[in-house]
Amino acid sequence: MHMSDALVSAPIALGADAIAATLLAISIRKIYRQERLSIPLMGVLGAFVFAAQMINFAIPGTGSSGHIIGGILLSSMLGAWGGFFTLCSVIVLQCLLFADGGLLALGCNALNMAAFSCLVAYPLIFKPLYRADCSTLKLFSASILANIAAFLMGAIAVTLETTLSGVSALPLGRMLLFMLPIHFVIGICEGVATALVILFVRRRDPELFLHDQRQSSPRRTIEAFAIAAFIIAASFTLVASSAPDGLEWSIENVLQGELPSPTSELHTSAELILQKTAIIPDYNTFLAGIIGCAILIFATWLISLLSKRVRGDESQS
Amino acid sequence: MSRSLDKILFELEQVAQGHSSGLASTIDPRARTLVAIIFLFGLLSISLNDIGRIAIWALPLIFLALLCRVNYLSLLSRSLIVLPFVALIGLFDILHEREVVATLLGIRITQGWIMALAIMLRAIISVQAILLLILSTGINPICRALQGLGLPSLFVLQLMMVYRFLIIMIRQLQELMRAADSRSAAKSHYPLSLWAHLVGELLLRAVGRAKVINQAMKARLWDGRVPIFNDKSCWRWRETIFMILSITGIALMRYINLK
Repeated sequence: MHMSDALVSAPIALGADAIAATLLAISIRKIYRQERLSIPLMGVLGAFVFAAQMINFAIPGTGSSGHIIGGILLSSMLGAWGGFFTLCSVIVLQCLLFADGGLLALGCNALNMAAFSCLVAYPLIFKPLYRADCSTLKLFSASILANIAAFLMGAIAVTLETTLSGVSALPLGRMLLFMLPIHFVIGICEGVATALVILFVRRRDPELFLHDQRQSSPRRTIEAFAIAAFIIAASFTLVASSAPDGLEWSIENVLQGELPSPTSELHTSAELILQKTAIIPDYNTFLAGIIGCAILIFATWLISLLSKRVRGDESQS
Repeated sequence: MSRSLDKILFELEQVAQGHSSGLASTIDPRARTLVAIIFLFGLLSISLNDIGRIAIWALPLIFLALLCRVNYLSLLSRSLIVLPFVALIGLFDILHEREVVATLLGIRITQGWIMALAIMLRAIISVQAILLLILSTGINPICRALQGLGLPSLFVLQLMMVYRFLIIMIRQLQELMRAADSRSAAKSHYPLSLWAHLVGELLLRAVGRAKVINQAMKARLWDGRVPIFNDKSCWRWRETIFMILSITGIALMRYINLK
């Protein structure tokens, strides 16, 4: 997934470099604040990731092979910012030593590969799910989910960067259609590989993954996903296509025209009810996504509150 | 596999200090790094439809490779590493842009093919620029240059530590893989369970080494502060002239159209 300089335009490269440099500056401040400076550990673990990427494992049933990237693994040992800092140094050296990834595209690569895995997927997915004494199944689930999320975010970022740079003539949606399934599969492989390594090392030296004992609360994850849902709902409704969806499109093609409206009494009364209850028919305002998200979050919160009360009453009785 | 690790070790040792011979070696690494960055910005600013103008940017690299006594053919072969991912993005253009723009010997050439070739050419030239910089300068002077250009000293120290331990880690990896290969018919890639054992063992060895290094650093009264390079080199007139000449050359290539 290393992006070459050829795949980005100068403004996009500069923008990504600025964001990555800011994140790097924050990570350096965080590392300086740590009581015990772990610089030798970060140096050696950076070299470890570099070396581990040279060993390929066979992907069962495909005849192909893959290697670890190491974002979640590094973060689970060094913390989110330490992992980001170390992975950034690996990306810079891969560029300088093996020309793997461009010099100007360093910011893009740091965001796509290090920031999403160490600063988003690790604290929001892996850390709330993983505990030092958790079961093997839970470890695998946490690792696979976190890596899939990291890879999908990276793939979306690569697509956005190349499309905004004017390098790819393919529309954003179609390019995502190519990129996302591949990266979903890579995410699963990386997740399994990361979990296997953690499992092996946890048996031999359990203290290695105990650097950050503060368990992040699931509430933080829920808040983050709620914010992400609102952002996506608000921004994507503005660029949503007005063309019919896949089902409507295929029915129109089969019938060579629109589906005729049913005339039975039941259908008419159901439609009347819908007309009265639908507050935003046909999503005809950009607020539709935001209002939908708010209602859904409120409903979920209400249901969880009620189920908590019911469980409380049952335990009291 | 172990043969490719040998090759990587050879390449790492090659860039350890860079080629110190040649005229360009007398120029301060900061000036060389800045010129490489400006060169890349110039290259990226050219439209992908102008494939001829992109190709011209390879000429100064051939000239500089000669000046720095770097083998251009090895530079070319190493720069091909970038092609797979770039070709994938180029493939999207081939599939989408099907407007015929020219016909050559009866073969219809589409806009997508022109864009894909331009992306690949731009990728190869940009990679060659980075490789030439590193091969003519060396990793340690580049790190000093990056620190001189404002990169935080902690990050520079991290880069140098990763680089230093990388050679040690690859040697450790060679040992592990030799042991694994001698017990199973040497394969280019391993089953997941064996792979996890290899990587896990490597990780444990890495952490063990980090502990030893930490103790050694503390024994030498290291207090956690990052040492700053005691670099005696200063910016001279020759660096200024080199910068002016290079920027003029880049501007000429960027703005003068020979058509």
